[in-house]
Amino acid sequence: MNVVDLRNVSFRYTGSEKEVLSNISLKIEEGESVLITGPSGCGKSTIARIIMGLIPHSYSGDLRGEAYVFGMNILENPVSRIATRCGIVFQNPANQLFTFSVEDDVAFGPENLALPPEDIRRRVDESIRLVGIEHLRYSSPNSLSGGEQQKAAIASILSMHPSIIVFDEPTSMLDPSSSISLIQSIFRLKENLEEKGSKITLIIIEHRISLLLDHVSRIVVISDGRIVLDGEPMTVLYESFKKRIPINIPPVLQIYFRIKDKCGLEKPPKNLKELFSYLREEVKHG
Amino acid sequence: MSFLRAFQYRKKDSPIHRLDPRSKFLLSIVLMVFSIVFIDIRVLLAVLVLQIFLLWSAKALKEWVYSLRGLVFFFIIIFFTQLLFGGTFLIGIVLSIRLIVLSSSMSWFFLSSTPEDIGRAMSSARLPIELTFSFVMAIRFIPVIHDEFQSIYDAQRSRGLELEKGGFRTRIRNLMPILIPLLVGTIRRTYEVADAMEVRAFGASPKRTSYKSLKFGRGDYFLCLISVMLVLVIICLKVFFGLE
Amino acid sequence: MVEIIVENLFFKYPDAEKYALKNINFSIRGGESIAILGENGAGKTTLAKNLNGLLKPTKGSVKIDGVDTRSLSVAKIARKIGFVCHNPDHQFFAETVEEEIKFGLKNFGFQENEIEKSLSEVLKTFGLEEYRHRSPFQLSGGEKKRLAIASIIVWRPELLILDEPTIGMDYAQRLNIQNVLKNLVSEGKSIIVITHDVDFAANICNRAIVLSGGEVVGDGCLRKLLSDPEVVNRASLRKPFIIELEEETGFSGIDEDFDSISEYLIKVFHKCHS
Repeated sequence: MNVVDLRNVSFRYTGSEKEVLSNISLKIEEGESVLITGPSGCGKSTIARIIMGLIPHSYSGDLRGEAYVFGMNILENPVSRIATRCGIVFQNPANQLFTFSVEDDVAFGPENLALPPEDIRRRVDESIRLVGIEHLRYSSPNSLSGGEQQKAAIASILSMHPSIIVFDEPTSMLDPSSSISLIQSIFRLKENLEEKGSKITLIIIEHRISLLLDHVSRIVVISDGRIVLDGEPMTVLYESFKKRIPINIPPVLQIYFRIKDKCGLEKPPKNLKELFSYLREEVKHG
Repeated sequence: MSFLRAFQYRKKDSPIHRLDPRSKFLLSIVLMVFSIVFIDIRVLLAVLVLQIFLLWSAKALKEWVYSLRGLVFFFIIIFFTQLLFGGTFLIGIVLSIRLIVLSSSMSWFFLSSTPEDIGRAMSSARLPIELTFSFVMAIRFIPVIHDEFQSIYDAQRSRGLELEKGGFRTRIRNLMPILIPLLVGTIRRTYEVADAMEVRAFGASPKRTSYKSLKFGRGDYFLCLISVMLVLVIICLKVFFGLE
Repeated sequence: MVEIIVENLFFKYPDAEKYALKNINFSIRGGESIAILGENGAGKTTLAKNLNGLLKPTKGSVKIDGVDTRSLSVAKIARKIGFVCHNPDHQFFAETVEEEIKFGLKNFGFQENEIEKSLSEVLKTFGLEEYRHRSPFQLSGGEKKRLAIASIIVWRPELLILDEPTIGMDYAQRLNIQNVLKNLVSEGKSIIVITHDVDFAANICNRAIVLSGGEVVGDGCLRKLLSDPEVVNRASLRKPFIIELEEETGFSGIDEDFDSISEYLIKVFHKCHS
């Protein structure tokens, strides 16, 4: 089942002359982990806004084509309805937390849905546990680090019980170790949910590809408002390398792609050590 | 800014913090009335002692003392006008104490009640959710915007901006490099916050639930009782003793 | 050439209980390119703000050309030490790119003809000529960053401090900033880069000052420091890619140029093969 289905979508913000997205078609299946990447300003965040229905409901502009999320046409459904199936974590951690304790923020969404209090409490407990921030439950967002705030934001989306979570550059304001920790907790979360039998689809918009390469099953490259590549990660990266699309290919792969044909390497290395051990092996046996 | 700290909630645990904001609000109002209707120094001092006790039990004495520094400016104005209009030094002191009592009654309330609890109290008084939430968020984002202001101020000072320099008009003009980025940043933030609220279904249902509700406990009834008694005291002092 | 001497510097924010910086000692002479490395919260930005007088030491001293920062105004220090804050949006206010760049020059009382000359020079070196009459707010993220640096470098401070220049930048933008800074260094400018991006730092800086929990845990040659696992672990950093590469290949002084590295590897590979 396609949980996201964009058909020939184009969008131009009011007041701007250029289309940010031109003729995008994108289908995402349930349970996938997709990385959407591309140079900044390429339109990747606009895709996130369309999937959530923030475009056209909160941003004015010229939208063409059709967009469905879980079969719901985004034109015909308010953001608050889409929000029960699809959640989003934004770039700036501080702007997604509105109250004075993490648990109140996690409860915010379910409260808006007017769920019964016992239900909300169950969701709050569960979401906080799944993200692993039990120790921050009563802390005020003002006292948390960026990475902790971002985890609290994830928990507060999780309590909406979404089937899709979109992450719009979730680590761009974090330092390297908090970024790694955040990405790990996102994918641990996916595993935990799957063990419980609920499928979740992750759409991550990020330009730091190296952070996600081990985790995603598909990469979509956007450039100048168009989808230029879409497919299995290593193939997509190799193609972008050949076409010189300015995306952040990890340094090891930069070298690997340049030498792989001439040195007869087949398997992409995870790190430099691996690259050199492959090279040595090739020298020995090749 | 130091004066504002007297109203900024700090997370602490005390019997006062655990009380319902509604009962605390009632007592604050009654204490405020004292400072408005009486000018008798004995009454004011008695109320001040009670307030200090309340602030002490809310573990908020430090913040309160700090906030008094912010009032110094007003004290100066009071004494100055007294001197100017032929008042006495004593009246200056009385008016100053009156001001302290007035501001302390509110600061005690704000220092010990979480903005959300105040928000919940507002909701229970059937105020619209938009209003209640604007209140909570305004307080939540004060420190965030303050930090942003500091970064902007630092950035512009590093480009040679000197606010202290020049005449009145230059000074006003010099504020622009700070106010414009702050305004632009705040507008951007508003959009981002609005998006984040919307994707969590804000406004989805007219009947929003609250998973935590305020509970009126024994302490709260006690506080209400004290407030009622104090109202009686006010009436007695006024009517039977004719205190001013 | 500006000289900064930091002696027994302790710093505490007014409301804080703990010191943000503890017993910091080092000195900076002209012509250096220094990276201040460490995790978020290690005290990097606090240290930088102590170097340009935005913050004054709680204990100890920071001396700029022999004068204690406590007796200098921020503007006076800024004339010598430029500071580029991490978020360009925190500094833009003018209607045009041109006005934005002129702001500092006017504050420091430059003459009109000098202003024009410096302006056109800097617009050229930073590739901003075509945006001259545009609003700074309309620029893209990478262009904003370039403008932010240009609007400081224009009054030719002797030392430039950059706070997290790569944060939020994509691959191409980061490369662009890297080249801008490399050029500055090759012109003999002193720069201090505050960053947690070790690869970026290794590509432009010679010296590193590594902070952890408000203390200096390493100060010296960047490549040497970052190949020391103890320093790297203590400050939760990572070994830069070029150092890893140097260790694997056994060469030193490699530049991060994938084409030449790869060509070389292919050559060596075929030699071994035959």
